Amino acid sequence: MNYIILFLILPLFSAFLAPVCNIVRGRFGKYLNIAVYAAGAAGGIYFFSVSGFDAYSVIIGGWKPPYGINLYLGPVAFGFGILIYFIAFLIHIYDLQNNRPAYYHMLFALFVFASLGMTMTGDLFNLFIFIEIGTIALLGLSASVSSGSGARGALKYFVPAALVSMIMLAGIALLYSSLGTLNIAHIARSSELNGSLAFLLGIGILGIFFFEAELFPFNTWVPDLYRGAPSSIAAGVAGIGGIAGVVSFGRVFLTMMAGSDTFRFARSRLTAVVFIIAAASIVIGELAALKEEDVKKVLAFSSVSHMGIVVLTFSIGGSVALTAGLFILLNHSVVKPLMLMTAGFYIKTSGKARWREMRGIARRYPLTGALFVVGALSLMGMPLFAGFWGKMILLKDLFSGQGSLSAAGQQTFPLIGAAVILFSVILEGTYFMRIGHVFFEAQPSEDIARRSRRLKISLSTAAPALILALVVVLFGLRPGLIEGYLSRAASDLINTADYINNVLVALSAAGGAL
Amino acid sequence: MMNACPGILNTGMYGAVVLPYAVGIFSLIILKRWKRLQWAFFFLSTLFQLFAAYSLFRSGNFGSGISQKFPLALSPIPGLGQSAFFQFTGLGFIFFAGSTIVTLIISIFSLAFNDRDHATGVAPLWTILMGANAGIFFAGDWFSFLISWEVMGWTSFLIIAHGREDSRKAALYYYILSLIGSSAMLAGIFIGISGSGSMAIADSVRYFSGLWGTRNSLVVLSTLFFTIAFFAKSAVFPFYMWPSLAHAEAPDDFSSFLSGVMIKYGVFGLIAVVLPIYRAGYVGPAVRGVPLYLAVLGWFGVITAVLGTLYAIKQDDMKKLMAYSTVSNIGLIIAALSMNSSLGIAAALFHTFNHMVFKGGIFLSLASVKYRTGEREMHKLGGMAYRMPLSFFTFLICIIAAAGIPPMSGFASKWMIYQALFEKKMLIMAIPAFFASTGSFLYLYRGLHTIYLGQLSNRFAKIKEVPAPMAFAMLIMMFIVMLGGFFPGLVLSPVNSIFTGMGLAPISQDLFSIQGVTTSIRLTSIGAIFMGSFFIVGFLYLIGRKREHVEQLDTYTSGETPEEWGLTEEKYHYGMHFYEPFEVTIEPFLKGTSMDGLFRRIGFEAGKLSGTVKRWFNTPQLGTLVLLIVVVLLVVVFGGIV
Repeated sequence: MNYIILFLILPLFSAFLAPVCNIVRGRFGKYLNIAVYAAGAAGGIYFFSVSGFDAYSVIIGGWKPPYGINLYLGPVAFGFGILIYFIAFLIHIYDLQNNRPAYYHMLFALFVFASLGMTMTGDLFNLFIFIEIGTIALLGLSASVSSGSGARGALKYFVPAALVSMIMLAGIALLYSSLGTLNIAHIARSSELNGSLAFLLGIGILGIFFFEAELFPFNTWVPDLYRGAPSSIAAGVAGIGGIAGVVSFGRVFLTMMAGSDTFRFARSRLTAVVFIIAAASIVIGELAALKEEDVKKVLAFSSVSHMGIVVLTFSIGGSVALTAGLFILLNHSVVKPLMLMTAGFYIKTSGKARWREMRGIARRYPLTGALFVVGALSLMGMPLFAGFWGKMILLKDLFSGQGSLSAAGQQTFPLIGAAVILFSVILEGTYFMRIGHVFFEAQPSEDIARRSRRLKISLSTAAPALILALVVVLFGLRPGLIEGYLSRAASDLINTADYINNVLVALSAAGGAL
Repeated sequence: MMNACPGILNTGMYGAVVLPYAVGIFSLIILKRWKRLQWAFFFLSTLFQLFAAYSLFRSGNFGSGISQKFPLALSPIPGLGQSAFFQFTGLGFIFFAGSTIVTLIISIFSLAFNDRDHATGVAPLWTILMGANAGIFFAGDWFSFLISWEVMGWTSFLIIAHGREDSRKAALYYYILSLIGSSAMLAGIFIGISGSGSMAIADSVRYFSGLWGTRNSLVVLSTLFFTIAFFAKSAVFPFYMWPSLAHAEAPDDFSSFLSGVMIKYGVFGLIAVVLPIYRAGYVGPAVRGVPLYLAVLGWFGVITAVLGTLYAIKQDDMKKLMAYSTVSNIGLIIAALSMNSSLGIAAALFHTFNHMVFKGGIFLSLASVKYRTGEREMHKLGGMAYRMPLSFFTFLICIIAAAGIPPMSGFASKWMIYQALFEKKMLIMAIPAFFASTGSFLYLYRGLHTIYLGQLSNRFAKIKEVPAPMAFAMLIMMFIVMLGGFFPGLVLSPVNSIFTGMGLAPISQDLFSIQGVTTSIRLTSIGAIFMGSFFIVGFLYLIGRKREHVEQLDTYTSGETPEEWGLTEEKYHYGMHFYEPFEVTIEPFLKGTSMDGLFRRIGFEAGKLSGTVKRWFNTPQLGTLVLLIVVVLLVVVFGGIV
């Protein structure tokens, strides 16, 4: 038995066991989940240390690809898979003090499972299935807290999700009828498609990824979901969902479309579309956050912008830009849950949702406030924190005159991208520092003072945020620790030839033409 | 000699930069409960930095023009090239030494200033800021520079805001301009890195210098990016209005540091990065030998000087007044250094260091007054000289220096600035510079008169002089101001000795005198004459007839009873609307050039744009949403296919 498959399906165990165990003993589901995620992370680290940077193609069901489905566990899947487990683990510890319904833990485990699957799968239709599982799990989770805004966020997520899923399904069907295969590696190896057909397919399939990656104009769900869902779910979407969406986007766009000959005639146009959507998301995300009053919505808009930056690096292409993009993704996936946890704690303590009404709350809870500021500084790209290095590597690459994947925007795209990113730094600094400081201002209001006397921060709330902040500072001071890994992950996504060789071993060995 | 004691150099360099970070973080996390101890650690950390400066001075190649590299322990980043390193240049060293000395004096002041009633709790952040301060001056590659620059940015924001709402608004205005500058600078830096292929600052400068004649527009654009950043940080037109908010709302001892040290970062940047590019190998339009770009820079400086003076004259708040005075002085510094000659840069550096000390002294004295009285508006004060003589003397000595009157240091540096302008025959530029400089006397005297002279209000009849550490700090500042005035060589000799390393010819000066273009002056003699006349007057005072003590009001009223005219004690002091006729005259001119209105307008429009964008996310009807997505997809698809 291939134990490596456990890396993916471990959450499935807890998903099915949780409701059963809840009948036996009330809170068992919580602890089961935590144990599972810890085990998953540990197992992943173990496998990673054993395998090094090699890629494993795990065959499911005995049928070799492209006939059967395979999992591709390369540096990207391992590293970001471990990160997903780690974030899920911390979110659950943060969540310990809350009373959640029984189905909550099952759905969260399913969500984690779906996210892992998205990063690892090698089959396009399998990817679609994982996306759907993730969507359904998320809908239930965000509406689990019985409040109107939770259900509203879920609904705003669901309807556009249904639309883009249908479109993706249509695209997959069209692709299957053209090429006769759904395996990503095999698609990448197929004969060239007609330019218009390739473009149509590309847009159809990418639509759902734009949606998952919170990009304009598919991102109206983002502020409402962040606002309405419980903070731990919002943290899950930002951290885990973000990773899954972007990594699978990278796999489909970079490995399957941009790196292969199949989509050769549409590559330039597709890249242009990706670039424009990403750049628009960055600008719109920052502008919207500038005047936002609700603190979770500010974080939502900031997510939109950062996802835009990461996807922008995909359209620039090249190993250096992609390394930077993955660095920024890593930073965001660690920092945004951190900020959502601290903001969520403040919301619970003060009973208010607007940051202006939370003035002075950090005087009562200074550690949480400081952690929020640390997160904000990292997102802004300030030195001593992890976000600095990602932005610096990216800017260096944009100014190096390397050009982009798109033929049309060869010279202009990097410059426009640089201008957009520099512009976003100014706006981000403005609103984040403003909010961070308001938390520390003057005397807290009577309301807050009264409530905070009753509510002390518990270890389970503070520890996850603290750990995430320490990770951010660690990578900020010692970026070399992670940079080598990230450039390997980047080449994992770009290097289509290696990907094909690793997956379609049997075919290339037999020399069969399929 | 370079390899003689690399160990000491290494320790000195690391100690100067890294230790304050460590102490600051330690202070922030561990010493949270003992606020006084935080200030003690701040003092100790700055003292250590001074020792580091001294050991660097003794063992390093100070003045021989060779810069040394010290690789950092940071792990090298494959995507970015070499590891970061620090570089020991003469220019960086004198800025470091100057700023550390001034900060040490301020830290002595802060020890006593931050007692229970006045504590601001900013010591840990300030300690970290000192590490960034050293990093800016010693950075050899762009990353060390950027890291230090950005850390300086956000720590100073948090310190200026220090937990108060109106301070936060002032700090945010400053920080937004600072971020705009940083973004512009990033563009310039990465153009330099990609062009030169290396992270070293010197390599980028060389790259840009080499582009003259082939890609003039790229060089000018890149230096423009740098100039925007340095102008924003040093409050030069059009970014000149933030000090009146930030310097005024900051904690009182930090205002001293802001006006004294921090505002000079842009000056350092210009001298270290922009000016060398326009020196060797410049090919392009020039005005009387000065490159056109620099001449325009000089005009911006002069405009800043004039506007700073005019706004300062209008102020009622003592800290805002002095903030505008800083702006005005920076304008003069920029005008001098835009000449890009030895005399010009020497004048600029001399005035920079003099300004560090005398403005630091002025703000310390204002902080003392505020410490005892709690007032910042000048018309509410008056007669402080009777109760706080030491603060009075500090203020007096320092404003004499600020006005550019001998025997204080400000005279020598302002004289040199004019000489630098004359050298390049920039007479039309010199005229507004004169106006700004002599006009400074108006607002400086107002400060002196309104705060320290005139009637002592009954409210403050019982206040005492400040505690010993604060008094001691002010004394040292006074002493340095006087020393610099009598012996200009003390500052100018070190400045002169770094010129060979920068590719400039040294100016001729010695401990007592300076050689200008039109003439040379022997400052010690001038100082001696002034001190001589002071002593003569003092002697006459002492041997004069016995004096009779009268009440203050008596001397003004000549026996009349002012209550009949509706005059009260406060109105009699006549601190309000001191220069009203003058203000009325210049009001239209100031309104026309106010950048404040423009920036507020930009901020307002950005806010409205943000609201519009947010409305996109609030689309209520899900059907509309679906329709929109379909439409977008159709547009993209047909656009792509067609």
